[in-house]
Amino acid sequence: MTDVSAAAVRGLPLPRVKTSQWRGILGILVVLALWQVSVWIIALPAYFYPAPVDVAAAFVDLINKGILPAYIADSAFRYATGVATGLTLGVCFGLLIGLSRFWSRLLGPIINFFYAIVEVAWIPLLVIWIGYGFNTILIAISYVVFFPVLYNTLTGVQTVQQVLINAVRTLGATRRQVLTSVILPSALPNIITGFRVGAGFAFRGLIFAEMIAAGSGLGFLIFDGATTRQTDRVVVGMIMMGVLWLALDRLFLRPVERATIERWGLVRAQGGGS
Amino acid sequence: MTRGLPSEWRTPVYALVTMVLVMLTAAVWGRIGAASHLRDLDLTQGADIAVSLTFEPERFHIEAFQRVGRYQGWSDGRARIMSADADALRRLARNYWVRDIEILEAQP
Repeated sequence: MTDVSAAAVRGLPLPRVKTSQWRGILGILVVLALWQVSVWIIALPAYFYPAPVDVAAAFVDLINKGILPAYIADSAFRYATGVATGLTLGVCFGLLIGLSRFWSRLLGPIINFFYAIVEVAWIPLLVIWIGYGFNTILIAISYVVFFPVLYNTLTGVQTVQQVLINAVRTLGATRRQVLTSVILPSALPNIITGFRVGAGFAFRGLIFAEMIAAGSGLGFLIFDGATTRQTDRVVVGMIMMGVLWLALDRLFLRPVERATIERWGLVRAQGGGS
Repeated sequence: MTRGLPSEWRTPVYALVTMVLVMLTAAVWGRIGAASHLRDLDLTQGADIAVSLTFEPERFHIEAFQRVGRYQGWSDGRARIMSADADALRRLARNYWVRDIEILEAQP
């Protein structure tokens, strides 16, 4: 029996946290302690190597001044809009290319070519064409999400068992019914996997786009903090990125992926029997 | 509320509901704060105002002031804004970091 469960048996008022989660919290505390000790040992100026207490003070200051909530809200809106746009376009183009040989031959090489050009390369050009602000960031994020979703959708469509399509066709299904009843459900686990991968890349794309093309958001907070030598704010921005990504992954992406894949039978739910 | 929901969907749904509730609470709190800040003010279009803060404004705050009117500077814990737009001022007053808003007396 672990220490935590033993304590729970003895009736101690411990929250219901799993042992692995306690280990995760312990890991974070160890990293914080090592960080603080290294600050004492190295003894560099605070603007060069801020201590955890400086970062905590900067965090409180940014909250008090209303900057951090506003920047998080801006980043979250840009992220959600960009991911939704990229997902929609990726699924549509994935289905188009996966279902039509004509469109596959026409668009395949072009899409493959653009896949190699990272969004970072596009941002300076987008700034010249569209200017700083929301639209440039939206395009950058959508671009990042588009390719993983498209290629995963394509894989999903191409790996649908022909016997299933034939079966519903012999029952008189139309093309639309084949698409909605067989192809889309079969491709869904791949689409969700592509979505999760794209959502991760999109987070990096968002931060980078905000560093270059925005006057608000977490990316801008990091960039602005570096230019004004407020490194404690840079670290706050970095920590917030990590926390938001963890929350997004744990609360939305992982459960949705698990639910979808289990729903469509690729893996068996835990404890689901043999 | 989520009794009929499959267990694997509960976490995203709870998280989404919590997010919506937090956003609604923040919006209501902001509106209550704005009402108290602007209670005794005659918000005629183009009034000159002073916004009190508990800290020196940064770029973020100055940009917010510039959306309200002509920002004229910071002194004695107050930001002076000339020719304030009434609707923009209401939006500014919803921010929790705004301590107080008052009309500037006309200079003789």
